[in-house]
Amino acid sequence: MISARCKPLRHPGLTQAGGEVEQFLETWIRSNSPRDLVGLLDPISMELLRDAFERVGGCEGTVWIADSEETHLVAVYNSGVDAESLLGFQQPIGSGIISMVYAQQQPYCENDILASRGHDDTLDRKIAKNTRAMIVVPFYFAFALRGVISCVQLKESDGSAHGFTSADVQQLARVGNVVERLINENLLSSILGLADVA
Amino acid sequence: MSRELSKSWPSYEDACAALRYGDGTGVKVAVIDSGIEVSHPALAGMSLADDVAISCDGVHLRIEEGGGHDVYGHGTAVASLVRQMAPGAQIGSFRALDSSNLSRSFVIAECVNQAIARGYQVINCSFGCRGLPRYVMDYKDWVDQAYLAGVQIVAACSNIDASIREWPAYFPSVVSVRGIDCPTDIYHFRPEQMVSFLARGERVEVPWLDGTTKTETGSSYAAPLMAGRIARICSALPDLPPAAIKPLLAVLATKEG
Repeated sequence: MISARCKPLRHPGLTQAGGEVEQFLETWIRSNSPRDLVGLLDPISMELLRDAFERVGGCEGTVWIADSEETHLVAVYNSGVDAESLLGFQQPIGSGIISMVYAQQQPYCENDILASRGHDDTLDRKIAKNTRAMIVVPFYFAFALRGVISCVQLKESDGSAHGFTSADVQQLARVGNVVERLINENLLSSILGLADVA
Repeated sequence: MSRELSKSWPSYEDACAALRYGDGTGVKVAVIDSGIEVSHPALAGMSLADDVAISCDGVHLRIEEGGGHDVYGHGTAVASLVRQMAPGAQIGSFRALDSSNLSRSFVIAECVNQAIARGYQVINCSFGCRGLPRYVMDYKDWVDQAYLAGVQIVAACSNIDASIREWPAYFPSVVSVRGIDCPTDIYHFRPEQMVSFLARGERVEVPWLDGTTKTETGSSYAAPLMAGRIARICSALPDLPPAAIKPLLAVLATKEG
């Protein structure tokens, strides 16, 4: 039996266009604020994220996107009941766990944040919650790192949460990657005039 | 073990002994990270071979004394794991991860240049970058430079999907490591995969900022365990050809049950 890998060949005439598309997207993204860019998360992406937050045993999750100057990560989507009080929160890049993940681009998990003096609890104080455990994974789209996705267990939860495992970290990272692919597909379809949805 | 014996490819028994009894003495391990908090009680007695902070203002690279500081705590955690595995190794801190993402690849490249120039044999990179074509030369340049200089790069990789590349973990000369739930004293090898080494990266207790400790999960903590193992082997087999290190690690890995 002969098997074949189904993969289109690179088209010489389109290779240069690929670079132009990448550059166009970079310029376009930098001209938008993080809160505008949340519009790139379509309903399917949001559902995938909500599902993932739930499946790994998280109480809620947040999508953070860096501003164009890369001075802050801005909360642009949150799956919790108090999402409105959190959206727009700006975490300075250079402090806190989410900034560290943005810098090193590796998924991270910590299960006893309350005992950690390194934790920046500014956000917790703002929304009057206590983060107990946290997963953070890098968030890419449009062919670059754009922010991070975090998922937390809160002290205020019903007590069924017992921290995250590395399998949970991998699961959230994988869903982040699927969302990235959805966003990329939507972006490319839009700018190339190939979109089949309004 | 006789020095004569170690000049050639070691026997399996000698290699096992090197991994078991080597302590890293005489080997320099560079930690490219967020700095190292040398005053942390968990690092008591440790003095850094080098403590350098490299930054970029968008045009110029600036090389300064690190001052024994860590900006996140991550570098302190990584250094402690190298030390745990290879207590005799000399550890150097090259701080890169507080720089803007825009200039990050230049800063990291300079850290590697500095480490090679200062005689380090092992460089730990508990960080990564999505393996897009446009970033490849930013990383390949220094990975190749290290390879030619006989310096072993060890890199963490999330490995969420085998089709997703990460730099520097996806270069063949790099020892690429994924964190798993296993005892600290073993590691595994998976042939025919770019991320071919698996070591403990789940619920690892590590020192953090301001003298604290944390329990962390991530490949970041698996990579320094492998960097320490390389230091152990190199200290016991000082004449081992650098190119032999990665295949030797593969041979010595614990078989997966």
